[in-house]
Order: sequence, then structure tokens, then C-alpha cells
Amino acid sequence: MNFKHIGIVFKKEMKDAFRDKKSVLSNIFLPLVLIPLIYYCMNFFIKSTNKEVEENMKISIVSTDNGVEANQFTKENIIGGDKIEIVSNTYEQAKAALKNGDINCIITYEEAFFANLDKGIMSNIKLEYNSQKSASQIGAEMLKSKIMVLNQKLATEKLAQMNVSPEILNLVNITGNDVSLEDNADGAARNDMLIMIIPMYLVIVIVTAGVPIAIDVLAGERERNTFEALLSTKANRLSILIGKYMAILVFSIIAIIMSFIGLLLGIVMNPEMFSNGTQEVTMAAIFSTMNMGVGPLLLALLSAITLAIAFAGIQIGISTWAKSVKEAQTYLSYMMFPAMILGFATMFMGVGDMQPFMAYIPIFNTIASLKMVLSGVTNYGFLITGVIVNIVFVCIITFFIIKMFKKEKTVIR
Amino acid sequence: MIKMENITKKFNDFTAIDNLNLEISEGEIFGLLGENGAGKTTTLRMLATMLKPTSGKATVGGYDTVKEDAKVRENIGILFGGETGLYDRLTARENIEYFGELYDMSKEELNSAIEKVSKALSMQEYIDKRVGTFSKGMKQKVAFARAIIHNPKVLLLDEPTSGLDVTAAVEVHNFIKDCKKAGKTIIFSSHTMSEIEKLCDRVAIIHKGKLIEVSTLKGLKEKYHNENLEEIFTTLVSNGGEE
Repeated sequence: MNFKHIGIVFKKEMKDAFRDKKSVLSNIFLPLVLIPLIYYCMNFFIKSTNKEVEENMKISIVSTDNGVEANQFTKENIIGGDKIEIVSNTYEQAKAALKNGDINCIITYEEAFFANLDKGIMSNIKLEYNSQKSASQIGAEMLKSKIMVLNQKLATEKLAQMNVSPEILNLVNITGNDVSLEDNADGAARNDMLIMIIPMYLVIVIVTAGVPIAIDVLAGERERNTFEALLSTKANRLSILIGKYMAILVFSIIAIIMSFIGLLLGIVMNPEMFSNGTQEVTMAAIFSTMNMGVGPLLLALLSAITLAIAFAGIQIGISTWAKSVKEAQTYLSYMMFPAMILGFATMFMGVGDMQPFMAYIPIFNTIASLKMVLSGVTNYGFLITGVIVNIVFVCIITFFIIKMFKKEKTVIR
Repeated sequence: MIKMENITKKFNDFTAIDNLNLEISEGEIFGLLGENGAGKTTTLRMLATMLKPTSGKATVGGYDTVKEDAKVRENIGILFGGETGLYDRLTARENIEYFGELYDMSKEELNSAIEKVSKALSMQEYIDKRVGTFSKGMKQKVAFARAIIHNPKVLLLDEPTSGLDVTAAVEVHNFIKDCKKAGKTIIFSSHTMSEIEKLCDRVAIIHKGKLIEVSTLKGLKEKYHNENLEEIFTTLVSNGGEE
């Protein structure tokens, strides 16, 4: 092994990789722009739909008793000061309009609704909506909550007329306490959305970030007919391999950092998307609820870095073994699967659901370590075991690729 | 300069080279003649230390290709195939520099060697341009420069004209002649008789991994009482080496 040769190979591969506009664009700049853009578009769609419902909601009212009275009752007791237009229709016309998305909902008052209401007998309102139209679904939720408020108001009035305290409606009151939050700073709620997204996203990026450069530096080298010339230089195979390995790793780490920055930008630029309802989603608020210790954070990062080293090794192994760029592309595209399977399998798992055996499985252990750290949970046993397992994983992979690179059959095809 | 003693190379049960013995002197252009799959590339790959012989011993410039492989590689330059393998996103200078650096040349040595070779091959105009935009002829010159940048004593050329047009092939021939003038030992594999006749001092005919003849071109023609090298070759190959 010759450090000078390793440096020369590494420098050349990095220069070559960063001159590949396609690869730089898709692996470095695209995640930086694409992820904030995706979240922006999602947020924009949700916000504009809500705005559309708030400003342009249309409903039809159906009543078998008295249409005028029903409209009046709705205006006074449900719509209030909100911008909701009542569209006059027969029931059939209203249904067709609902299916077409011309109106948001249909309110149907059952027979003798108003008479029953006066008598204090339970009366039914049927709320019809179209779940395929988000504006209809949002409108229905809005109406439902308004009707619940009306119900509360009418019941309170009735009870008052009967000289009964309205508290009778709430004889049992529930208060909740999440003990897992007791250790958090100010008892602030965790951001479960971020705990769900960040580990899965990071692991998928770690596993796949080095793929384009891995294909180019080995399968591409062979296809370009430069590999034999390179092997005939004074540099030995181990130096060439390590130089290329380092280039894949550094490129992967840059791509991972850029993707992570892209994700953070997406979060910070679209706080409404990630709000857990009680906290303001800013970087400061996120960090304050995470309650991350320096030790656990470093161990989780070490787990992620060792996983990146291991997967750079797997990528180099597959690219060496492949006979052509196309073959390497096919095999390396499969690398997405273990990350996605394990990522999605653990996506909805809370940090308390993580089992000790997960520390012994690469990918699983990194996801679990990241979830722990983001949740403010410190479990040194799990974190250290995960790092050791990943280091052993790196050693095994490195041993195999060195062996592979020395094999004539694999290198000369 | 180059010596092969009882070299055999097997890939599983297939014997690619069978007990090959050859000796090539300094400054000689030596032709390896054979059909596709005869074992020419395998022989050159063993001399370039990419493959290890299953048995036997080969030396280049006195260095053992297995035990002193780094020393061997220091003394050889290779050009394998007509398709010149270059890095398209690097300039011609960067392509040559990369290989020069891997031969441990100093910055000064490298600059002076690039200057010299780019002048000799008339590459000054495009030496700092990216290779991806080059014509085949321009790429060919860069590949020559890359192969000789470290001033190797031995050049291993494996069918360097395959797939090239006449002009590009003539460039290769001129390059080989210039290298001979510079005192380099050249092993040149081909299945084109006219090329062999034009360039080589001696020739070895290989068939199915076995050496079936080695001689000067004149000696070959005299031995088989035939002026046509192509006919001598086809007769030898069809007889499997038996006269």
C-alpha cells in the first residue's frame, strides 16, 4: 500500500466525479432543491385547499319539512359569520354537484328535525361529502365541528331552561400525561413527525448516495478500457482500490450532507407541515424538544458514518464484480430495497418499540440509534453495540473486497 | 530484455497458454501472431503483471513478473486495443499526468516529459482540452503519450490498430517505428499479416495457447519456401503447428 498513490487515485476520482455534471446535479444539487420544493408544493397545496374552503365553500341544504326554515337555521346556527354560500338544489341536483366538486357538502335535516329539537328529542343531521375531493373532505370536517359546537350550545340552553347545570354533560373529565416527555426540557412535546422521517430518509440516502460514482470508478473504468492501463502502472491494486474506495465514501458523505441540508431546509421552510400542534417548528424549537446528549448524538453519527463506509464498500464490490456499467447499475439499484424495507418497517415504531436485537442488524441499528437520539433517549448499551456491529460489518466487507480485487477472475474480465 | 520460460496459464480447466518459451532482445520489435483466442492477450497480460502464470517464469528487464511486479510495471508501457481508453472528463494533460504521477514522476519531470511528447506528437493545440471532444486520431495520440510518458524500456501493444481507419493505423505504425528508434523493446500482437511484415524483426505464431513457430520473417519465408506470410500462417494454423 502506497499513500501517495492512494492520494493520486483519490484526487483524480474526485476531480472526475465533480466534472460529471449529470452526477453532481442529481446527487448534490437536486436533493438540496428537490426536497424543499416537494415539501413546499405539498404545503402550498394543503394551504391553498384550506384557503379555497375558507373563502369559497358551497353547501346545499335538504329538508323535508320547511326549506326556508332550514336555510335560516343553518345560516344563523351553523354558518354564522363564515363565508359559506348556500346553493339551492333538489337533492338529486345537489348530489350530482357534490360528485362534480361544484359544492363541498350537503346537509340534510331529517323529518320533523325542528319539531324534535324544540321538544328536546335527539334529531339527526346527515352530512354528505365526497372523499375524493379534498375541498369536500376539509369542508365536511369544518361543518362537523361547527355542528358539534351547535349541539353543545343547544344542549346547554335546554338544560338551562330545565334549571340543570350544563356540567352534567361532562361528568367525567380526562386529563392525559405522557411520562416519556417528563425528562424533556420544559416538558415540551416531541416532534414525532421528524423522528419518523429523518432516520428513514437518512438511511436510504446513506445506502444509495455513492452508487453513481461507484459505477463510474470501476465498471465505468473497465468499460472505458482504462482499467488495464491503470493496473499496469506502478501503483499496486490495494492502493488503487483504497483510493477509489475513499472517493466513493467522500462523494457519498457530501451527497448525504447535501440531502440532509435539503431535508432541514424543507422542514424549516414549511413549518406547518411538521408542526405537532403544540410547538413552533423552527430549528431552535426542534432542538429544544429533542433533548439530545452529546455522547448519544456522536454515537448515532458514528453509527451512520460506519454504515456509509460499509455501503461504499458494498458498492465498490458490486461495481468490481459487474461486467459492464449496465450490469452494475442493475445490481446497485437493488441496494435501495434493504434500506427501504427496514426504513418503512421501522417508520411508525416509537423509540420504546426498538428491541435490543436491532442493535445487531446493520441499517436497523442506525435507524434505531437516530430515533433514540432524536427522541432524547439515552441507551449507551444499544448505541455502542450498534457502532461495534457496524465496524465489524465494515471489516467483513473490506476483507471481501480486498480479496475480490486481488482475484484475477474478477478484475480482468 | 524479456524472457518467458515454460509459461502456462490455465483458467479453471481451460489452458490458455501452454508451456510458452520466448526470449526477446532489447530494441527488438517482436510480433505475436495468432487467431482470436490464440493466447496473445493472455501472454501480454502476464507480462504486464495483470495475470499470474499458473506455472513457469517470466522476466521483463531482468525482473520477475510475479515476485517483482512493481519493478516490471515501472519498465513497461501498454496500449491494449484500438479503442484508446481515456478519461473523457479530464484534459489530455490531466490524463497523461495521472499516469505519470502513478509512475512516481516528479512534477518537473512530468512537465518536461509532457512538453516533449506533446511536441513530438503535435498535440500542443489540444493538450489542455478535455478528451471527450477529441477525434479518434487525437485520442490515439494521447494514449501513445500516456503509454510512454515514464520512458519505459518495453512497450506491450495488443492489437493497437484494431477498429482503426487507415490513417489512424498508419499513425500507430509510425509511433511504433519511432519507439524502436528510441531503443525500446516492443511486443506487438496482431492478426494482420501486412502489419507484422511492415514492422516486426521477429515473429512468434501462437495457436491455441501453443507456440508453433518463432523466427525472423526472412527465416520463416525461407523455411516454408513461401513468400506469402498469410499462406504460411494459415498452413501452420490448419496443421495445428505440424509442418
